[in-house]
Amino acid sequence: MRVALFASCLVDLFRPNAGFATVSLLENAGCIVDVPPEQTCCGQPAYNNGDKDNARDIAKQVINEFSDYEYIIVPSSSCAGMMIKHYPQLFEDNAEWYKKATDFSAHCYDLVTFLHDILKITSVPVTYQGNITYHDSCSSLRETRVKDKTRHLLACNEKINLLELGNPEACCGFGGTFCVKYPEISESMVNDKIADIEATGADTVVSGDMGCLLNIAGRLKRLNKPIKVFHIAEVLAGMTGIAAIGDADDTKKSEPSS
Amino acid sequence: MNNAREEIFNRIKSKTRQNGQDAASIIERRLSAHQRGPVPVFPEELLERFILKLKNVVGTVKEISDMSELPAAVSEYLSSLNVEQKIVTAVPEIHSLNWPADFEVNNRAAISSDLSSVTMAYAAVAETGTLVLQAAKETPTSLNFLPDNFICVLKQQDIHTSMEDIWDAIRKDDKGMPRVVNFITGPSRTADVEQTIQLGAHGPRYLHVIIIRQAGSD
Amino acid sequence: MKSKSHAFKQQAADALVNVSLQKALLNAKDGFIVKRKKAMDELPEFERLRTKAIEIKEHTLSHLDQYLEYFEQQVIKSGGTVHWASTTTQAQQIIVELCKQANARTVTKGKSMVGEEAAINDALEAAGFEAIETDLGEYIIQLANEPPSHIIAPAIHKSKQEIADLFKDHHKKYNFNSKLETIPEIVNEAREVLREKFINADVGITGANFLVAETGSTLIVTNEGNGDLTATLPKTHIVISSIEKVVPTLEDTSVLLRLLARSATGQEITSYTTFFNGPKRNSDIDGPENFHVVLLDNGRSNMLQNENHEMLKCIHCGACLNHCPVYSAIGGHAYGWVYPGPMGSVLTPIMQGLDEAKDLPFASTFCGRCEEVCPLSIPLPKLLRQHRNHIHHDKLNTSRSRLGLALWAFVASRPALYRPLSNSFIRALGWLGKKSGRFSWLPFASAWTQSKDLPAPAAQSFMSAWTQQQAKKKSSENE
Repeated sequence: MRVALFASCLVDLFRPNAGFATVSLLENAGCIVDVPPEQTCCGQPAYNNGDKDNARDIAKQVINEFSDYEYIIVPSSSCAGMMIKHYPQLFEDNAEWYKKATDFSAHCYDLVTFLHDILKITSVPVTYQGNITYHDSCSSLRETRVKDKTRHLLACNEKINLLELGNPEACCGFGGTFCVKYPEISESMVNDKIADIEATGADTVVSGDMGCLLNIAGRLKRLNKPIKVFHIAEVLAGMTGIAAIGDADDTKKSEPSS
Repeated sequence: MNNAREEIFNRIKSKTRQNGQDAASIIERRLSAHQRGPVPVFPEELLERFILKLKNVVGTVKEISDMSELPAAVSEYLSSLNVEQKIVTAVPEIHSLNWPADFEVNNRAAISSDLSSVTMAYAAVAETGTLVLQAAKETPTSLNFLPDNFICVLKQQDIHTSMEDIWDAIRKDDKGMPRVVNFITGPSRTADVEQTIQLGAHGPRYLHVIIIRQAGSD
Repeated sequence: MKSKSHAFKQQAADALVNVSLQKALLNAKDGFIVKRKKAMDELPEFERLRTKAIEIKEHTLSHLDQYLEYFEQQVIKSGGTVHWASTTTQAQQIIVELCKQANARTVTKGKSMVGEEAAINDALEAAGFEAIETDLGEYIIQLANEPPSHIIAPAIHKSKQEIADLFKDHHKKYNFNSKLETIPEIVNEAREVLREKFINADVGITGANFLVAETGSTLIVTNEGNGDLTATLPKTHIVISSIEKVVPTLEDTSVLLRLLARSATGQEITSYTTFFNGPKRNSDIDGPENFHVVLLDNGRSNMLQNENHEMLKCIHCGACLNHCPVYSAIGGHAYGWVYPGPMGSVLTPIMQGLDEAKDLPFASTFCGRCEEVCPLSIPLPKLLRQHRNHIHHDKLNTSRSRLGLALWAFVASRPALYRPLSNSFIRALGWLGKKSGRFSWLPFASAWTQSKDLPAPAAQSFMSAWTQQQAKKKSSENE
């Protein structure tokens, strides 16, 4: 099965290891992974700031670049939600592009849905050992709806001991440009999230969206908390051997292996 | 005074689909069909459910088998609250009962100094443990809200399943919509101070329902 | 009240450092959420009720004029009068005039958000009437001279101590001098003070949660019973409501009631749900002699066919506030007008102008919980996004954010440009941050770094590392 990976801008720039982990999970399940080169971002920053024109331009470019693929995989519920739910909405006034967008969106999958529903994987090569807690991103709860699927995947490997948050439905306060428009409100929200994470006693927090991960890691590190932060793809692929998000890299070689 | 009515209707008309005669018949059909939405189902018998739900909202219940037992039941309840043996009611069936000599029964609507009232429910809703009262000469609304201790008499056969049954009952009476229909579920309460529930905000502090069991029922 | 929504940013920042407010918000935080969830878990019919409720509202809104006309006829038949107000000013004028006709001195009020929207208290006081809020929460904020901070729990931001202090100052004139320490003491004193007001009021004003076209009924839901005392004891009962609150039948009302209380407070039904139908009848021995319904439009009719029409389905349960992480961080006052939280961030720009309230639609992470819990499934994030579209289109956002967005979009829509730029950018950042793994300060990201470290990017982007790896693979295959 040939699949295309849309890495997402945050994975691309901040956490390549999550991108390689995604590739590894897909290849282990027998997929041939293409990474179309003309990809930048899904366009959410424009879309969520009311700039529909630019959002449309970016969407068109993504649709064009990926239109030949049966399966387009995104290691982010937020970007997947944008591509699946919001791309068609962007073109409601344009029949030609509306059709292209809906055709495209039918082929898009967030990583967890694809692993769970299409590849139906039942084992994952986890190497991580310890107590983790999982932060459900808002888009993973309400757009891609993968809350239970995520739990199933994590339960595929007994090394993982999942400690659930007390308030798993709460937003972490990232919200794209929200966190820089309203940094004080965002701080208050992420403080609540961190208190919840700490209360579980977990030593690691995992999530499926880089935005949330940067936000949570950023606050954890500012508060000098020892809790580690990883993308779910890294944990599932057994690629947690490198420095956690926001932590100092104490290995000599940071280039990930795949 | 102003032509707001015309302006508002013109604005609405310009913005909603208007099919003249057709639209009129659509709304008339809808208004006369009285179509019910989903009505929650429950496993309990009506009386059992009503009592269960009423107790959940801190109402109290006494079952009697006949109206003649009412004076004793009311007297006993007032004694339990440690308040004077004195009520206000406007229900002829109630004030004409054989009340004890030292028991004061006032026959009128409620005034501010009344501590305890007794009135008659039109019906009840088992689903939520709710009393239904109508404003009428015999059941003035002030009795339901002014006194601290609100005692309501309910006949078992008047307990219905849902609010929808009440609408059917009112339509069956064929007297039009009563001036006031009160759905009362427990005593007055507020949570406006630090989200802490406190009974007896402005209305009754206590709600006591005296159910007259249906002849032949257990 | 006059909108202060333009100062949202400052008000939000102030709210976050207001110790007593934060304490009150913390106290309120999960209560509503837990209670709602429990109520919904016990209602397997919830989704079917929600579907039906949406059908009811959509049907009614598409025949709004006819249902309003039918409602009006039924009110007239029951002996009442309907008054129409296009604007809040007209609503004020009508109500002041009705109070004058009633020779009123004291006017009691049940809680009404439409009344807040139309600033009825201000108008009554300016006209020389004593207007007293009787819902305990509304009464408390009236004494504090504040707007409500929550649509169903107006004084949620006030602590017991603050309320006791307010009562001490304001109840002296009624000879109440004892020091209030407990919640029962506070509630009892309010009961005693307000009891006199109920008895002496000449006019009672209540809102309406729904208007029933079939019967011409206006209905209110309360827990305190204040609305019923307000409506029953004075000689005149005035109902203030808005045009979108009409529903066809009593059965339709029952559907909405099942959703309303559960969504609001987690109750299956409130203590009191009352249907009013006109003034006292000949046989009645209590009740008001005059019955008036004032229906406010205030821009709602214009929403019917525009992109905001879904907001007209709102039944004002407050679930979106209770589940909003932004609302629970800053409380209601920061929003600057009468409607806070997600529903307020949609309504305030519509009713007070987009420029006045342009910061509100951005005060959301689009987490979507509001839409999820809304008993009418109103797509609040979508409505907020539409406001953002207009703000951007009308150039109401700052030139700095427009420039940033334009630059970013210019690059992001051109992969040939994006790739080398982003690569060199992160190579530099990645190198700088390699040692610690994060930045505690960055010149262009101070809004982030004021409270969070920024995890350092990798020295090489995924795309670049991938391309390199593929090239290596290829050349090794070729060898």
